[in-house]
Amino acid sequence: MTDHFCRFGIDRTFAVNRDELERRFYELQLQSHPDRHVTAEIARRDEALAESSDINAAYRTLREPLPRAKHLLELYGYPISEQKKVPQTLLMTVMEAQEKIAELEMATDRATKQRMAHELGAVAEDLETRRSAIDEERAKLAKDWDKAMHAAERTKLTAPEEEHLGRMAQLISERAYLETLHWSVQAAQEGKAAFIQH
Amino acid sequence: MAYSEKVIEHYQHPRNVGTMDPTDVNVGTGLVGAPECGDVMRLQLRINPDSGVIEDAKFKTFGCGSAIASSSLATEMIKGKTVDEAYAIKNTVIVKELNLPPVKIHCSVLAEDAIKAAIEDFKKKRETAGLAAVAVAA
Repeated sequence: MTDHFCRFGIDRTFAVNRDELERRFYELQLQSHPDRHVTAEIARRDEALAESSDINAAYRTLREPLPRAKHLLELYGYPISEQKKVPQTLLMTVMEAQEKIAELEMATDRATKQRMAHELGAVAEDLETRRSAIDEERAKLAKDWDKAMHAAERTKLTAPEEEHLGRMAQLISERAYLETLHWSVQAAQEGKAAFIQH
Repeated sequence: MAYSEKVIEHYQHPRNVGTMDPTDVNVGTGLVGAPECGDVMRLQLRINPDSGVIEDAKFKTFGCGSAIASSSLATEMIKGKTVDEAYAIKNTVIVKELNLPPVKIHCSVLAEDAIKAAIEDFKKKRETAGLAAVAVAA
């Protein structure tokens, strides 16, 4: 896969300098922008167009902390999609909360509605606590990682480095579950049916 | 994102939504999640211990339309199959049937994982209960 950090000529770190990133983006776009290749032959023009669109995608990835972290992890061979070791307790929490939401939607009497809304409020609070705990740990892991230099390939990482990135990948996937559940809870609290679109 | 007609159809009329008693020794429960988007799927199978045939399947999925459609289709596909046949089902069959776009392929993987997890749960439960393994050749 393409190393976007490399393409943009910046260090492969969790934190990036956004001004520098933006500057690099304009430089790269200037080189490949389709308008610069109007007079070129068709093959070259198509190439420039594809390049330009790749740069846009890479920029979108690098600009936002979460996609950027996911990209970094993927480069090291830790794609979030392969984080199968999700704690069953977390999945159960999601399942139970979603069932509460379904109950709330089905409830017709006032008392049940009130009780469910109250319980959902507690769920929302718990979610918020867990999410901030994850974000705090993520921030610390990112900071610690960025402090030192690391090999570019997973095979050359030390055992603690592997553990470091493995934990990061795990946290990001756990966060995804909490996030999706959070949307559903919020929608339920606002009396809307959750229509999940990722 | 545009969903295929089949996805919309399953999303609006999901088959076999529900729950079974997870403590029933003939019921296997698979609870799996999609780590990228946080969708969660629970699939339960009622398996005939003598024939190894899946007699009933129920699911509950919390996630996007494709995840719901994938699990709904999976329950339809595995009913009447033996555990071995069901275990061998690949996500690509679901992708094809529902016409899932590349970004939604992980939803079909989730369904495949759920089938496998449910069957493994069933087998483990029987083992723990000291019951004979369901021996069926696919």
